[in-house]
Amino acid sequence: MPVETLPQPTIEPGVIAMRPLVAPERAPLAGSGTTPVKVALRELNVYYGNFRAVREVTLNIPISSVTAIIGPSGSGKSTLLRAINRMTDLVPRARATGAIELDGANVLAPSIDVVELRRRVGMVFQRPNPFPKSIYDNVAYGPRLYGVRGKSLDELVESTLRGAALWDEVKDKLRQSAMALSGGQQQRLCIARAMAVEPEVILMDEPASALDPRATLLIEELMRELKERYTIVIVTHNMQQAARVSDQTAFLNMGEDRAGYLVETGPTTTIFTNPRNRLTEDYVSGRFG
Amino acid sequence: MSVAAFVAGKSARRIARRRFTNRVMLGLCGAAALLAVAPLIWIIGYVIIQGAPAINLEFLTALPTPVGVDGGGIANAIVGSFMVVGLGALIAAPFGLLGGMYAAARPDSRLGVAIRFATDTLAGVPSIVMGIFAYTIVVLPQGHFSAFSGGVVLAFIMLPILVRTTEEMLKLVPSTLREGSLALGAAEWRTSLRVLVPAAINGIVTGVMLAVARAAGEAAPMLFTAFGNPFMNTDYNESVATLPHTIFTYAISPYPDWRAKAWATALVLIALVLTLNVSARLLTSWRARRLGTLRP
Repeated sequence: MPVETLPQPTIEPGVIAMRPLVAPERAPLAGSGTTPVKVALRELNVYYGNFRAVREVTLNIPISSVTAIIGPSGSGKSTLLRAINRMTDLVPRARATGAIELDGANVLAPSIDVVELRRRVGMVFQRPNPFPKSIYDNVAYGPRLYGVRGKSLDELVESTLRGAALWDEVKDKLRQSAMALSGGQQQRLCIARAMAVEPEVILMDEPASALDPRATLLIEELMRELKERYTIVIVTHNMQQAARVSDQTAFLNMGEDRAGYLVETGPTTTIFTNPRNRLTEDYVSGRFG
Repeated sequence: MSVAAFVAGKSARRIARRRFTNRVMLGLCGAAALLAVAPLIWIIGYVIIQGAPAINLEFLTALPTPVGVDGGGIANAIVGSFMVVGLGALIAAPFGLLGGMYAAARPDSRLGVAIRFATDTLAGVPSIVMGIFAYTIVVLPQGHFSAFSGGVVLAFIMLPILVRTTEEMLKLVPSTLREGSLALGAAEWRTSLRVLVPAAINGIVTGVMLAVARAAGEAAPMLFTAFGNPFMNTDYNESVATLPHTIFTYAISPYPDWRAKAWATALVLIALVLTLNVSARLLTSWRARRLGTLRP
């Protein structure tokens, strides 16, 4: 059976990380109506067995921007995020209905190759999870899957670590264990590891919640730089963080059936200063959640 | 009434009694722990005292002599033990490790459940039964005893230990590592091989060592398979002497010289297993220090 692959730009291994860090033009602001949509959720439902964790979420995620998903515990934020690169497939009896379109192609279609999908949609997890390997091998892990070897791999590792603002800290100890790095460095290494396969979208599941304030700040700075090249979706409990880093914010809440639903979405400034919905206002002002 | 006031009221005697109970129980647990360690020290000490006097270079390098002739050694049994244990490990390791990987990757699948049940049952089968089984399926069709049949029976004995320790050790690897690899687009096999197994390698090697140690000490199945051989043999088609079988033969003999040799052979067996174990641990802990592998 032929496997339907997603439409994608052709990329040569070895030169994939050589794109300039700063895009020539700044991406237009989210919500301005003219921004191309990178990922579109269409009436997305996610079920774990009979339990519906996410209900009827429709949401556009614009290209080259940071979209923050906020909401109280149990509102389905992580589940929604994990559906985008089909990590929900790993949970027995989990299934998704509706559509998640990546450049117009539905990633929930059974014919989609999840391996290729996950190369295009990378993920950074809540707790830093470097592999118990050297710093170099952590970054090289992904590119090696796609056959990058030798000198071009060395160059790719260096440019990726530079892109993740980690190169200067680790360039003299590339062969040492990644486990010896600090938590913040480990998380930036995990971001570098995700970047090394040149994804188009990076999903971040509370990437700074296990880090101290200084390391958090570095991650946030990095996100602002990275959105020039990647479309970033971040789940966060931290409303200040959402306000600081995101262009667009989506507020999820837990319904009476305990399913997460989308209350409101819009430009971050609007959500935080002038939300349409009373629930959003209460949540962003800290009255519940 | 506050807790503090309550404590002050009920007071000193009760607190003293609690402290006393605590000390008594701690002492009991400590004594039990000591008792658990004691047999090991006792056995090893006794074997050393009994066996050490008979050990010299000749004992390790010469062949056995007939009864009444002084000297002689167990070189044939040392070589034979390496042959059967080595063959057993060679047969069992691929099945054990791959089976363990499957059981860890698909714990709730039908096959995963079946693997766990089958290996637990197999681990409970007495080794002498395994010996008779190998006798029936290998020795009888071949028409003669052989080192090969000894290797086969030891593979059966090692298999469940290998499967279960591999599975358990892989399950100890945090699932976040697995997710991290899968999220990069790595397939499951690649994830197991490149991330999970390296992270669990210490435990897996420990499992292999446990299996080898267990197999190296088996005497009963050797009666039906390797059979024993007073001469040096390196042919897998012929019968060979093994250390546990030699211990058995010497120990039940009426000759004091042979009984002394039984103790010495026991010491050699323990020393070999211990050396193997310690060197494997040193190797993996060196790797762990270098790469920060998880330690079980």
